[in-house]
Amino acid sequence: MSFRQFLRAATAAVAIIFGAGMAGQGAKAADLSDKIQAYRQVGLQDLRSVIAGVDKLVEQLAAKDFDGARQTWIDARVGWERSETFVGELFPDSDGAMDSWPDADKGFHAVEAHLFGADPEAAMPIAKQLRADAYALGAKLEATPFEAQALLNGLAGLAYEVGEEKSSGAESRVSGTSLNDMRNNIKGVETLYEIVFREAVASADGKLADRIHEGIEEVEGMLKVDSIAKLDSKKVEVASEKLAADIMQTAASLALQPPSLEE
Amino acid sequence: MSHWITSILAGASVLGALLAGGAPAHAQQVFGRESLLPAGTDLGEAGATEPREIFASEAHGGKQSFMTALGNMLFSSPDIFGEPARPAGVSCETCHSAGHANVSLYVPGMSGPPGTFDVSNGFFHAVADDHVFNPVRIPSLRGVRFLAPYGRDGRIASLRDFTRNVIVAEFAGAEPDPLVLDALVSYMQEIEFIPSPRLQSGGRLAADASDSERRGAQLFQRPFAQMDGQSCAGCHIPSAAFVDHRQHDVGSGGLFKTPTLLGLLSRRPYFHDGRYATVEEAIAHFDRNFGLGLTDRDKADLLAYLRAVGDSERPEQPIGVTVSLDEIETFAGTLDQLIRDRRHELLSVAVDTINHELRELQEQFFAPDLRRERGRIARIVVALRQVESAALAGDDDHAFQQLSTVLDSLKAARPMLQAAEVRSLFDPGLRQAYYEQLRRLQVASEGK
Repeated sequence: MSFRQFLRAATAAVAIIFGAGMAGQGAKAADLSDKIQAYRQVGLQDLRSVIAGVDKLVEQLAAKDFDGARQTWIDARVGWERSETFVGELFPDSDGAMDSWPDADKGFHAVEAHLFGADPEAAMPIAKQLRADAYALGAKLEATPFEAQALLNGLAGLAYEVGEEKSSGAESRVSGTSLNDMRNNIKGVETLYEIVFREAVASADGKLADRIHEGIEEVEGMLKVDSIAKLDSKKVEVASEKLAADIMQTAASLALQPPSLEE
Repeated sequence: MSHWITSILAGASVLGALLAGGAPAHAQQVFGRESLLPAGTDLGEAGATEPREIFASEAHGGKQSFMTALGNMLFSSPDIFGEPARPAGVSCETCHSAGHANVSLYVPGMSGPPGTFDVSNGFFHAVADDHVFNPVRIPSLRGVRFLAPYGRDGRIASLRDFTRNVIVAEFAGAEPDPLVLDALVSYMQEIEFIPSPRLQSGGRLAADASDSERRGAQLFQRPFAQMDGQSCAGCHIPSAAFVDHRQHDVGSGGLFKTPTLLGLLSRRPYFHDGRYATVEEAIAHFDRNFGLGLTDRDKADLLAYLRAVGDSERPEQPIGVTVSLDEIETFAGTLDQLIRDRRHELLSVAVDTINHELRELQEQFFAPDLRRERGRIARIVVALRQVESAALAGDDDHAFQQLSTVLDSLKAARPMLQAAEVRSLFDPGLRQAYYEQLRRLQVASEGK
């Protein structure tokens, strides 16, 4: 290794651990505004589908259509999990109100415990609160701008989160749909990366751009199993950490700060 | 996913209910449809303490050798086991918390009372299934180097052979590398008994022993004709860690090896199969089985003596940042040598294990205002993975440089994490409230 290579490697290591202020210096910011706008439309559409789903969920509970409500709950989680690339960064209050774990009083998982559990009717008051929280999120949606740093933070954070421990059952353990959550998480990562970042990263470091793309595909491949029980969660954990590391390395070429992984 | 603790910190009713006498959350069962372990499993993770662990080297002012630290790390690693233990996160540590016994462990269909486990059940390795429900008490490994032979009936003479059998036969692991076995044995042989404050050398009672304890000691030494002239001390030899390294039939269903009585109080239940929950019941067994005719005072004196023998000085310690980081730094201390020796397979096991420990530590910093702490730990996890990648790519210089940065950052993170500890799940109240939320979700889902 040459001294220059050594210095670059050492700087990357320090930047990853200590975060802000260590990278991006001297790089020219790519103009991502059009791409961010395009992704914003995708993200907002996902969240609008969540709000509509929660609305429908309450109606089905009122009609005691519990099978329908269960399917609607599962469907509503799709857009939610894909949006975790930005919800935690841009709408932390809504994230806390709607998707906290473990929370027996509010949010998707409190609804889930009753709806898929012994007394689905008991889900109703919690579902109504979830609907109110979803409406509150809807009221904020259109006025909230998306920006590159928050999206890069969310991208790395969600790539890392996919590798969290699942052996005791993950968050959607009562409905048995945690695998869906993970698939939609990585789909959210893929969508954001492909729409906003891949081209800019590729123009600076083609190998890194390809490695991230392949890393996403690798995780997606690992999630093509029938059940959590058949998932090699250790491999997913390793792959997710490598993916997060690669995403963090893009900050320099994007003239952004390295993601802090604080979500 | 967000964090439920917002509502707790905001003064929601849950913590108040707990403080007012709600159900304690020291037990937490696995529930739902997705666990890799049977529903109802309790891994004993909800407690706010863990067994204290004393290493021979550290007790004499030294530090764990590379081999001991490597064994310590491997002991916590599911990677040495096969399926389903490995993906389920089961390691040696699962049953032998901090080298002691996990007295809370309960797996439906595989445990009798908590703290027992049927290793020949077949769940973890079909070829080991003996089609008999015969759970055994999980033994403590404190002082294990003095306790040969191994197994409930002493069927295996060497600790190394016993360990290999656990990995390969019971938990479906691949044939372990000799270095793995050497390291595990090195680690286990370093674990000391925790001294009893009521004993002095030779297993004799402390000078300030009570009259009852002294009478109990005399009774313990008295030969009984009903036991072929043997005394309790004939098998539980006080000067030899209260064992005789032999097997005896004491009316519990066959020949079983003499268990040590040191640390007795912190490793319930009792007898090879954990059939007795208390020392009193164990005393009553001997009285009944051998027709000893013990009076109530005899039994009380024996109990007083056994309590003195089986006491341990601070057998438990609070879980927390310091203990967690000490362990993580010990594990991370093996990485330099593993890179140097190009032991890439073991390096990956070490990084997996350290990162798993780091992620568990990260989960303790749950509150929204602890984002910085969570992020700090996550960035170390990611950087460690880069250490591994560099080493596996043959770029040792880069790996060493990254490792140096990781070790520095671990040290730098310590004061920050310690300062936030009171707001983390290491705080007993917050921890209890967290597990109460899980319990309520379980109740809602199961309707009980």
